[in-house]
Amino acid sequence: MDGATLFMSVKLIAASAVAILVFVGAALALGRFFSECASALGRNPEARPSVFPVMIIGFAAIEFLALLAFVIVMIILFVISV
Amino acid sequence: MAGGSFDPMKQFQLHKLADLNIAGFDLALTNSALHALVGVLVASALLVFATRRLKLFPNRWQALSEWPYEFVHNLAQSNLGDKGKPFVPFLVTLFLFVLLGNLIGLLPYAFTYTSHISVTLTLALISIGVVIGTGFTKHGLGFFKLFLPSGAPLFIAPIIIPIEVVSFLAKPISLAIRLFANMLAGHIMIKVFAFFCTTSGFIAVFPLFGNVLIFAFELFVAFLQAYIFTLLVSVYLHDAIDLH
Repeated sequence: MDGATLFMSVKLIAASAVAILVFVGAALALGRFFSECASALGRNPEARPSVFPVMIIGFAAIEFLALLAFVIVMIILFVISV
Repeated sequence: MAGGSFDPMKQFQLHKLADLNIAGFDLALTNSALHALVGVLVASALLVFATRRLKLFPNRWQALSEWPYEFVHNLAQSNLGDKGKPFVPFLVTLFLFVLLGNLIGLLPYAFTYTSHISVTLTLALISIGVVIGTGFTKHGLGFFKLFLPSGAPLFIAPIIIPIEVVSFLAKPISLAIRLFANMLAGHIMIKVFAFFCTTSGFIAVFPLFGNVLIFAFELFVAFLQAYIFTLLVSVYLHDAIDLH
């Protein structure tokens, strides 16, 4: 295996590892977060107007972490080269 | 894909449509700038022509043009209260620009100008500039109290001030990256599934079905991202006005 092939494989493994790890984390976070929101709404349905913005902000925060990983994957794949 | 290589990033390439050089600065009209101009023109035309003859009972166009304003007004009202009134036009402008950028990008052959970090970071820096300007005009140097929550004991100040400063500096970056990465990821997904449609022969109906779902989701994301951008800017404005 020459250097370029090795570099390419390391790059692909690193990119997929980041993507999959963040998938797991984002899935756990989203499941936890929306289950809490759903139970809050179930306990007190009148709180919907005040829960909704909080829900969106929390969703945005989780999403930001996942998208940061997406950007990192893109940088690994397309920017870093030998 | 007639023999050509498949490149989902090709849709984000910039190319010049007309050259323009002013005092050494390259101000060429690119496809991104053209689509941004289209977005601004659509928003302005909607707001100017639909509100020509205002009626108490709005016709369809007037109702359409009132919707974004009312939507953002309610958002600012619930986050900022009556102090948010002066910021509503700014927030409406942000909302419409981002929303139209996302929606125009969904048209075939169109370019998504919100998928470039240069555009979204500019929007985010302008918003944070407005936040900082508001904070300093309202509180003067007292704006720096933003970095030490009131009621926090003094001895944790050395820890909490750097954290607050970093989290404040991360705000424009997170605003910019969220919007740009969302648009980038969504459009790459659409193109990848479209590529599956063209190569998978008679079972292409499955990726096509997937693509329809993803497109619907992207339409939802276009609204959601514009809403989140405006919501977060109004939350930051609230922090600057009320200082925790």
